[in-house]
Amino acid sequence: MTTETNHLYWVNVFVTGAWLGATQVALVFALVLGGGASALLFFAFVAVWIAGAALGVTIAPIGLRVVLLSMALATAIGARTLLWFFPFSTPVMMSGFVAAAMVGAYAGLFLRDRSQDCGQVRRVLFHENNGFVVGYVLAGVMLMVSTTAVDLTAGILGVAVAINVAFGPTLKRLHN
Amino acid sequence: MLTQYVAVREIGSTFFSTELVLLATVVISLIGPSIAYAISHRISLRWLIAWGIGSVLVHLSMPVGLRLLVGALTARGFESWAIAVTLALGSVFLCGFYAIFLPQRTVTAASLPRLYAGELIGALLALMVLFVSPSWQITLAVYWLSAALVLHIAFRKLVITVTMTAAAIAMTMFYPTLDKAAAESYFADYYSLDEPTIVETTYSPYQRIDVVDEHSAAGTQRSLFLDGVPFYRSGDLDAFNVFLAQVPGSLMPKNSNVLVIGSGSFSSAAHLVRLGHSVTVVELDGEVARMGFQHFPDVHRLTADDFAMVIGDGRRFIAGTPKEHFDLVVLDVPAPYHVQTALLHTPEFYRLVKSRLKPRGVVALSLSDSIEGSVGQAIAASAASVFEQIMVVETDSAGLGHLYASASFPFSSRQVARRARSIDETATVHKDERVREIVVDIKPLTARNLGVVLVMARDALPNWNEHDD
Repeated sequence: MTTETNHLYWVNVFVTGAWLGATQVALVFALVLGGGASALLFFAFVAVWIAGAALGVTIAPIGLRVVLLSMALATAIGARTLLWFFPFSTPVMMSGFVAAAMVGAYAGLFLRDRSQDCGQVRRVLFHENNGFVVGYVLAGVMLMVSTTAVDLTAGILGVAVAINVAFGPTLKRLHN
Repeated sequence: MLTQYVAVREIGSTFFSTELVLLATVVISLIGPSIAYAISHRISLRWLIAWGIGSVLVHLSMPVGLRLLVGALTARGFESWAIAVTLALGSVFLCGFYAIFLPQRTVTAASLPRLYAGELIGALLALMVLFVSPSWQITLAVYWLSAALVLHIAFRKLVITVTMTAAAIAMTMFYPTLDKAAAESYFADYYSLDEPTIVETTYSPYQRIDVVDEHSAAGTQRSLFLDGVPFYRSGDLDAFNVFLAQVPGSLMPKNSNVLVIGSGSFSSAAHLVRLGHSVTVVELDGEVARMGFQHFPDVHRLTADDFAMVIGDGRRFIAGTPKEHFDLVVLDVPAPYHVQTALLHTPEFYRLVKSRLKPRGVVALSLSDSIEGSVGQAIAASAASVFEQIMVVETDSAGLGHLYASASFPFSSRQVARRARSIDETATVHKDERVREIVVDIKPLTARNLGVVLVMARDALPNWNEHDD
């Protein structure tokens, strides 16, 4: 049985996409800052994110979405912090890739979860992609103004996503 | 993935490459899927075929046609229209068509994992192609043939498949000739170069690199362009390297240990080698080093044994060197048009450099601007926040300021002024107190505040209302 959708449902999908876009910008910047501007680093980051998404959309258990999201948030924040304070350290650089894999995996799991939940694959892809574009642009422009603002934006969006995932079903039951 | 990569590279190297252009290019490739997702359930087969053919035609023509179009429109004062056309056509025809298949083929939500994973694996394969491809021509060949393959799988119409495949093969074969002609037209139109000829073009993992000869009545002038942005031009930009490297280098003790970050035409390194110093050059992009060394022999007059060459990230390299190692560090790096180059103008980086300088070591850098300009002041403020002593040299010949900084200069500002004025009598040296007075209220460019990148990008935007009547 699929879940009925309303505007708030799609706002949640959009916000998740925005968090993913902003987080990607924040993580790439963190890697450039803490690991250097090597093209290999960037290609590896993209590959790890995509591989994470492939695993997330296929085999990650939907029941563990809260755990996976928590790991994605924690590793993203951790990587950003470590790369700032311990630049050019190979183990620390790996934290950036771990974060990319976790966030990518959550992205894949999210798409599968929401699509199965509401049964509307096209709309999920549409709203998530729109959110990703907005999050990416917002973070990309803010990067040129204040990198702290990028981190805060990604963080706030991440918290919004986490609250929705953790408490959304409960709030919905209470509302109904 | 291939489409997005080629689009970002081609658009980024056609318009004046700034962080905003890069961002816009990524956005162009991301908007397409949203368009596809919005209409995938409504589009008829006839329109889908038309969209597919249109997309492949755009893909076939983009690497050459975009440069021709932008150059032609810019020459007529319509660069802003070129941006608008690229945004519009790119959004619809670059990635959009390919994105339509996922929602169309996903009959039920249960089939999404397999189909989406397939798409992602395709993207990973594309990344591998990009990584192993020996040349841009091969990358484009795979890109174009993949497009024809997608059309075949989607429509299975022999006429379309054969036509598009033949077009892809033809474009691959004629690409070098077409690209050379398009690039020469572009440099003539966009930069008003006189009878430009392409000496060599290559695509490194970082940028498109062009070595261009300009033929005028005064003779032949050779230039190095990185992603369409002039990085070195013999003549005017040679003065840049004189004040960046030769002037400070000439005031250092003989046989100083010198690091040059950024190779370019090797002009900076050459000045320092000829002064008798021990020079190490670090360059991120191996192709820039190769082409700079190979195509500017009259500029640098060096042999490979005259200096040590390191290919790698400059910040990473410096972090790996011993403390108090260098007498002079010369930052021959691009202006902060992008975030990654802006990081080479921050206090965080300057602190790292300072820690690797000997007690009376000096760093020489470009302000990318005059000391009176906002960019120049932000960079000067960054240096002022780290180094105990700074001075700025400005000359008409270089056209922008050069800053020297140290914990304790081994030379005086008077010596610098004398040396600078022997080269260019318009040279003005701003001493430490004067520079600090200028930048006292200026926010430095830092790793947390990269606003200068936005200023550079904004200043590089064409005036929307400017066109010839």
